[in-house]
Amino acid sequence: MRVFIAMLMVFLGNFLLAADKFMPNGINPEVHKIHTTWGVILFFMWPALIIIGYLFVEFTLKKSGLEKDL
Amino acid sequence: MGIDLHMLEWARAQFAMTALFHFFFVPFTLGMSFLVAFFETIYVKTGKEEWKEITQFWQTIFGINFALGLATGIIHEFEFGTNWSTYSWVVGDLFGAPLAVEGIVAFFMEATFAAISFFGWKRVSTGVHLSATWLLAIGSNLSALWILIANGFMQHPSNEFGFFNIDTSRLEMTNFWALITQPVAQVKFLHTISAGYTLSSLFVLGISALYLLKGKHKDFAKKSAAVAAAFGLISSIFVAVIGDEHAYEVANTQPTKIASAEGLYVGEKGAPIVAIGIPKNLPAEEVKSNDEAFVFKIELPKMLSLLGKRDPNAYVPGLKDLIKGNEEYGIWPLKKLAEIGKEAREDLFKYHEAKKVGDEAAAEAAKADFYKVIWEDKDTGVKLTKADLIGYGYFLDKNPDLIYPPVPSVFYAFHIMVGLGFWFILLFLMSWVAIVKGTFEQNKFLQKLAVISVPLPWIATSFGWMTAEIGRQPWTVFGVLPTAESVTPLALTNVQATFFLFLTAFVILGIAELKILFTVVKSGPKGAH
Repeated sequence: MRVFIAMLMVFLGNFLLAADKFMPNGINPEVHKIHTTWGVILFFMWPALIIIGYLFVEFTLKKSGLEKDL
Repeated sequence: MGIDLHMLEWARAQFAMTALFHFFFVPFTLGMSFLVAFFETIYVKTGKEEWKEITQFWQTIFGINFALGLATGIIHEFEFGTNWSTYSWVVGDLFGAPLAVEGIVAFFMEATFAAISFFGWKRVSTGVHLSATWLLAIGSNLSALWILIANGFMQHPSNEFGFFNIDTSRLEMTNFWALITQPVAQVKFLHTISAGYTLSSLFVLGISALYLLKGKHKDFAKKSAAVAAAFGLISSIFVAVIGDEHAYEVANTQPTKIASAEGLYVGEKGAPIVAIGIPKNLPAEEVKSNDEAFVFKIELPKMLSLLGKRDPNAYVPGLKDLIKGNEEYGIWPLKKLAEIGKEAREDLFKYHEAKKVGDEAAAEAAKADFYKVIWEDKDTGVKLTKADLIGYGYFLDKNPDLIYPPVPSVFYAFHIMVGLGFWFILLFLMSWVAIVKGTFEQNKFLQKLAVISVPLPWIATSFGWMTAEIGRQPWTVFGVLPTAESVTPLALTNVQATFFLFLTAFVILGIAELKILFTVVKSGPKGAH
């Protein structure tokens, strides 16, 4: 749960980047700038998704009674 | 050399056809590889043979797609060289690096572990086999990561990881770390793989439901459906959440794409999302209000500003603003951007002429002019040089409406994808609840819904890809390299001939794939091996 809240806060923190600011070509300079830390956090959502996905599969099998020996 | 625009359209059609055909297999492989790993993990943990049978059945189906996915992917590499050689030459130093890593990861890691996973059931220990299955899944998905890093560069080229080298007239890499960690690429990766997980989960759920409807392989079907519904539910929710972040990145880095996807011709504060509508394809400069741009529409007020800018009252520029400029928000008219782009091209030409005759002073002057900073944001330190706008020079004397993609195509592709995405969440949720309650086996209506929904994720992922790629037009590298200047100046007949050659090959491969797939599904788990 703590990991989930931390990830949610990072996700919401990204909202703070918003501003009515434009480069001459209509791009937002705040997003045009590469936020490498945010990129790394995004990447690690992939293994998190797989782990959570698998745990949810096990939970579903146990809860439904289809496989109790997990 | 002038480009035959007719030939350009044929070259684009050929690449689109190859990409779409390839993309029928890719998301399925991405998801099935992990589903097979899940099934095998359950087999190893429980030690029950029925889970081994389940694993081997779905692995057979995965294997058929895996082979075709690899084969059709190779065609892309050749097309970069044959039809898009100018593109490959200009961006090869940047685009080529992640593509090369993908090649190594795909062909070395995947091939090694695919061999063990597919053919090593009786040759290696259980633990080694399970590890190989997981590493195959991780390798397949890492391949997607590198491809999408390359694609992320095309969607959002930043001068933080590359620059236009005046000496070589090519884009060259300066920061590999920034290239691979840029959020546009990472979000695209997450959105694509989770869509793949959703697609394959729905396939497994649908085929399992089909067996239940026919009263065949009931235990196999119930267990397969439970795994698929659970993974599908988590994945489809994740697709929506990360899709929101994806839309945010697009709204702030590709303003013409988001404006086309929402039919936003005139920029607005508190811009709405059009939930349902029929947009018109109009010349953006002539549109006075967004109401005249639709035959009819149902809007969600302020939602585009909220999702695109994280502020319900934020300004979202429309297509008209991006052509005529908007002084209030600091957006320059396209004509001004194109004039600067033309100047950058002239500086480049002057530099090489001066170098040729050995006039170092003139060369340095041209170089200084080429890299002159024309705009700077003090808060972020982001700068724009004349060199960054070199691609805009192409549009100086062109129809300004060429600067954005066809609105109806992008609008429909985007909205159908989103609509189907919500349907998948609902379907997985209903199925998951029924499975947990133990009523799925009796719920024929839900089973039928699952069966008829099997093709829908392929439609959703194809439309998602169209939104990304048609929406990026008229650029191959957004804001830097126009598509019309990326193509190889080939004779039209060459492109037409290879188009039909590939079309024939894809039809034959597609029929063979479906025939094998139907045979395996019809045979059921016991007939798979």
